[in-house]
Amino acid sequence: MFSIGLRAKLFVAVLPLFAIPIVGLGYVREMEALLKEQQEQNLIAAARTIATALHDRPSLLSLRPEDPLLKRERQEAITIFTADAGAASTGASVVDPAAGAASGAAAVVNPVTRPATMPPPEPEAPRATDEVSRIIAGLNRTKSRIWVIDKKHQLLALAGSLKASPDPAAAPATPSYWERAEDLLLRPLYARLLTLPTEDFDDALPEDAITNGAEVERALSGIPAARRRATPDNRAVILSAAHPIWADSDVVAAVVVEETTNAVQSFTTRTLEKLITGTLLTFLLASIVLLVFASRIAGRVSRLRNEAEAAIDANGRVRKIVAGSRSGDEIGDLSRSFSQLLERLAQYHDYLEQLGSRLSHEFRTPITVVRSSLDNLKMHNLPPDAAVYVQRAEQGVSRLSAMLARMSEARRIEAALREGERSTYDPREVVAGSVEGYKAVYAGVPFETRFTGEALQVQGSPELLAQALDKLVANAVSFAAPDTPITVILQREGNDALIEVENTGPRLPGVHADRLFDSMVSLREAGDDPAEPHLGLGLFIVRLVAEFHGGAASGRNRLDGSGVVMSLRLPAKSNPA
Amino acid sequence: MAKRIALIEDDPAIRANYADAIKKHGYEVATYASRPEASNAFKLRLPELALIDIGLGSEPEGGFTLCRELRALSANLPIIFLTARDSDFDIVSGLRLGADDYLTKDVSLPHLLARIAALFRRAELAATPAAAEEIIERGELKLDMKRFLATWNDRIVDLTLTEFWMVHALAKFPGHVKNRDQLMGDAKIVVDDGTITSHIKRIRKKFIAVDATFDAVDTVYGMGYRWREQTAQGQASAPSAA
Repeated sequence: MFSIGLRAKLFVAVLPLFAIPIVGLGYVREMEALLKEQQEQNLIAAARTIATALHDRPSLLSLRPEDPLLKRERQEAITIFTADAGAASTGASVVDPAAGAASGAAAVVNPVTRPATMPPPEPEAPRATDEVSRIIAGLNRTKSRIWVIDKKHQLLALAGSLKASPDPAAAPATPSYWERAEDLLLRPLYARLLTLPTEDFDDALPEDAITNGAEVERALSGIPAARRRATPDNRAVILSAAHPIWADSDVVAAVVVEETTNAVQSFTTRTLEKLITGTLLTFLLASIVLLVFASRIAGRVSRLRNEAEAAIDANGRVRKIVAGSRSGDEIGDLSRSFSQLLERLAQYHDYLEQLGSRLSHEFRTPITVVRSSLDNLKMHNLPPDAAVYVQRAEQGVSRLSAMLARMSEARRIEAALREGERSTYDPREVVAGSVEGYKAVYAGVPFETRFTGEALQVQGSPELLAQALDKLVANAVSFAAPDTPITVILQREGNDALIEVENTGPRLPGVHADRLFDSMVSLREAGDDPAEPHLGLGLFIVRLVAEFHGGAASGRNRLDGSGVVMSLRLPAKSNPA
Repeated sequence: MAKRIALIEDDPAIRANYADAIKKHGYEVATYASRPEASNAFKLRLPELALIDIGLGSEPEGGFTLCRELRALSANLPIIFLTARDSDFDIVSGLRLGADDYLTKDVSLPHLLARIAALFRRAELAATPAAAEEIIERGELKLDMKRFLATWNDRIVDLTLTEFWMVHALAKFPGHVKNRDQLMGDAKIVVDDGTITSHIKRIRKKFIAVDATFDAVDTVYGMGYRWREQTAQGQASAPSAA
């Protein structure tokens, strides 16, 4: 039958706990949203700050008339520059090596960068945009890109980079064992589940973002705005916030601050990693604890079961009382009630088994009254016809006495067993001697013997063994078919001395065969032999003797059904030297 | 003058039956139903033999107490225990109460009377020297059939009457196996096999108490017991199966 153990059940019961990391996941997602919101606000604030620096300084933004060619070229230059910068992955972007090198992180997209073939720009315009560049370079934030655009969507200045410069302090420290283990075991899982933001993305500033960005449009119309867009290669998300620059009451330009969401995303990812790691660890730990706990409980329950099974033998007799556990929990309670239950059962069994000797004791006094009365009666001169009745009464009393004697015999044997005088002896001597005796006692019954030549040593009492043998042989003789032999076998079987008494005759009644060896169980047909009372104590005595020797008694039918084999199995010592 | 026997038995029917039978054999009987009643009577006059039931009314072992009291009053007074319980046998022997015999109550009256007669004879003849023809000698063992006295190496072995009869039955024909029924017949008791076994055990113990090397009572498994002859005793160290 398929059955689920306690351990498996506990595991199933624990499964709902997996909801905890899912809740954690939702929490992290919310955190992420919050952080992004925060970042957006920050960016807008930054844009506002920069815009504030540029408010009402139209001179800075005064531009020469735009010529389409110039614009196009500038755009090309920007595209080239950003592409170069992206490929080089350097923090500082330099549009114009001549002008930009000095400003470091700031880059100025300057009409000066036009190829030499271009007509030289008016001198003031570059100065103005240089000024803007310097201002925004001064406001530069790490990992932000700031640009200024005028109403005509012309890029006036550009500073910073979207990419973080490699932090020399973050040089890989020797990872701890824990980190290494985490890397080895969990990284592949994380790589599959989570995307770590990469710094390797295309940070080109597309034309589209400048001309068509919704946030730029809104800023140019006077409203600060923010927008999220993917990089052209879709590897990162860029958040850009635009703020108008006012001159008097007109929007003259807009400041755009851009940042990737990498910081937030990597924070989220790291949190998720921690969450997963923590969850896995917790579950691992909880699993181990549960496993140990469940194993302990299962172990205790199975031990109790084994004890309970061992406590009662195949015939339902209490072999030994389970020692009640001292543990205070329910299993301890169970164990204690088992113990009590078995004790009561044992008491009841004792009562049953002592019933015989109790009866014997209680009956002896009335029997003595009858017997002494009869004896007295016989001393009178009775008329012959009366003497017959006295004789019959005496026979009846004798039979009663015989029954009582049998009952007390079992009792006395039990007492002898309790005294426990054991000696080491060779059962061959006892069995051989006894069989010689039986040949004399049961004249006319043929005996066959088969004794091992091997010396055997058993622990017990030879007198009791002889008594048990008496019972077995008497039993066999009474059941044997006329003129069939009784076979007595003594042999070594494994570590046991095996004594078997076989007779040809009726089979054992199948159902109760095991109970034959119980006290006062007789399976003889009623009225079998009225002169000889059978109280079912003979085989009980055999069992007691077998148990005294540390062995067991059993009965079985011959394989061909022609008769019965009663056996006594006594543990023998290993061969004496 | 008729011998006076004290019968202490709590069951009135048994008491009356025993008293009748004993009286019929020419003894005088004083019956008591309880220990205090008997004790008080014994202080005034001692009987010549006492038959004591062990369980007396509310005192399950009142008989033992009474026996001790009687022994304190007289060292030679023959005492027979009557018991309803086989297990009392072992208690009686264990306590060494000085009873001369103990019987289960289902003993027949003729057997009981035979014992009474034998014990009186033993008491009477204790003082007189034994006639030679009444003594059976088997090596170290001497059985005085008149006084029911057994000696081993000239030391008295304190056997009860039943035990004496058993030893006699065995020693009369050394080497012959006596089965349990024969022993019962000779010892004038009817008991089960187990009781015979415990009697034999006690006999051995009593002899061993006198001579630690005693092993003349031999068990023949499945058949019974025999008295080992002196000649065989020299080889006693060899196992009997050899």
